[in-house]
Amino acid sequence: MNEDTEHQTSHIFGIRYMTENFIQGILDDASEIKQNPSKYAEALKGKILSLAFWEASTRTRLSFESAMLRLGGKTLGFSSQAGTSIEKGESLSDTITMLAGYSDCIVLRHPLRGSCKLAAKIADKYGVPVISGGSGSQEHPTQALLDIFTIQEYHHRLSGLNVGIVGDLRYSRTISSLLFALGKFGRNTIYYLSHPSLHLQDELVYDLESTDLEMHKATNLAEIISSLDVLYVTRLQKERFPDPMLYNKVKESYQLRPDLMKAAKEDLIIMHPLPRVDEIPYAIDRFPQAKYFEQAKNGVYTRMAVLNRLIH
Amino acid sequence: MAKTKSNDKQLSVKKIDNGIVIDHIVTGGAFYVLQALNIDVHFPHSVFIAMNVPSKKLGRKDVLKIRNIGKEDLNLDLLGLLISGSNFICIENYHIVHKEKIQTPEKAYGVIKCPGISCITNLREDVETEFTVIGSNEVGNRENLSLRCVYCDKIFKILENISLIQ
Ligand SMILES: [Zn+2]
Repeated sequence: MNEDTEHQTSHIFGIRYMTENFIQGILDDASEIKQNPSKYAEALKGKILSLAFWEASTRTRLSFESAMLRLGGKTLGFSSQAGTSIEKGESLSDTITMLAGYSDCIVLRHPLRGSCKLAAKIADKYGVPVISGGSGSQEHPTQALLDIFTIQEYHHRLSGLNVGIVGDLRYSRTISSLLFALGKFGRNTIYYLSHPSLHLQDELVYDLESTDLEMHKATNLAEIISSLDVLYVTRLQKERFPDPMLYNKVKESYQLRPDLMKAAKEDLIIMHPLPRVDEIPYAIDRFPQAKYFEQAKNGVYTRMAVLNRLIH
Repeated sequence: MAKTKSNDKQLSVKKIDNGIVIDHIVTGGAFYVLQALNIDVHFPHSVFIAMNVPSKKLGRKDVLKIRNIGKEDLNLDLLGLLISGSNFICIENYHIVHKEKIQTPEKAYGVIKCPGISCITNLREDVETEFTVIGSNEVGNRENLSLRCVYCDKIFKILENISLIQ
């Protein structure tokens, strides 16, 4: 593989490989598409997008599908390994080679780290762009794009923000991408809060050292909520905890209880990549600061912008 | 005193007819090379190892000589991850026909298996591993030399993971 920056316009496998200009371009396009969706209704007419999902992900897959259909294109693909040639032992490389012949762009979700880079390397030979929909616990770049699009929409800036990140910081795909994105736009302060077994990965901490992010470890939500502009909550996964009792105990300490909202700023935005479980109770939905459903909707516009840029 | 000195000298410069010599290895390095190259009783060629011998430059050094192999039989980039700064010499008919300093490479391709348990390169795929070298390999700091997998981002110290070399 050549220097990673070469891939920035033809493949998308990580925010960290994108320039600030490229990201800003996508955000501007997404904003334009959101205002005038009908103008783009035939932008990708006659084009086909492959959705190659080795791992189920309803939201990401449907959001890409909706984006492609709204651009006038078509989609094909699979949404699990069951019943496909992959189940019969076909390699990732062979599947990608096949899809590169069938379509104009490939969105890939795979349980192993590095799978998107490998797919991009193969599809590159055919001039077909690859977009990561998540590879193992590595980045989820289009999620981060919609996240920062949402932040910019409400705060009109991507720097000088106090951002709280709470929950599973270790295995959440969205957290690493979001931090790389926030690290590209100047000085932002991050307050992170998680159970010790779910702290940020060492590799991520190493990479973030070269950004302008100011990282602060928080001990509880009550301590930080009054200073936050953005509160980003992720789901705790039961299976990450060896002991169900521990899971129940930990779950409560990272829950956004309605009484905590008294101290929150009026223009705080609460975000979540969804699906949520108990970490954000339904009672929070009634607060004007709750923006997670708006955030999910923005996923379609940002993915339309990405597809429109990559597919020619 | 003089006698000991000449013995040491004899030990470290004893000549071989054909093969390679790696000289000025920081002590301990010869052992890493033997491990990395999988040199054991089944190895078909004669191997001469001198460890902890006096050196003007290093104080103490290791020297390794292997008969009847050439540069093409070794991966110098791999050696650069273990013993950079050493002198690599090729011998034919008791004459030096090639000499170079072993350098730390910027990248490492193939040969090393990625320790990342959820790395795509460990699945049955037709893909060569690729690592970026990070950390310094200067004398005295050899232990900190690390590799980062281009695919899964895993960072690991090479000297703690010699068993990953295939
Ligand atoms: Zn790896």
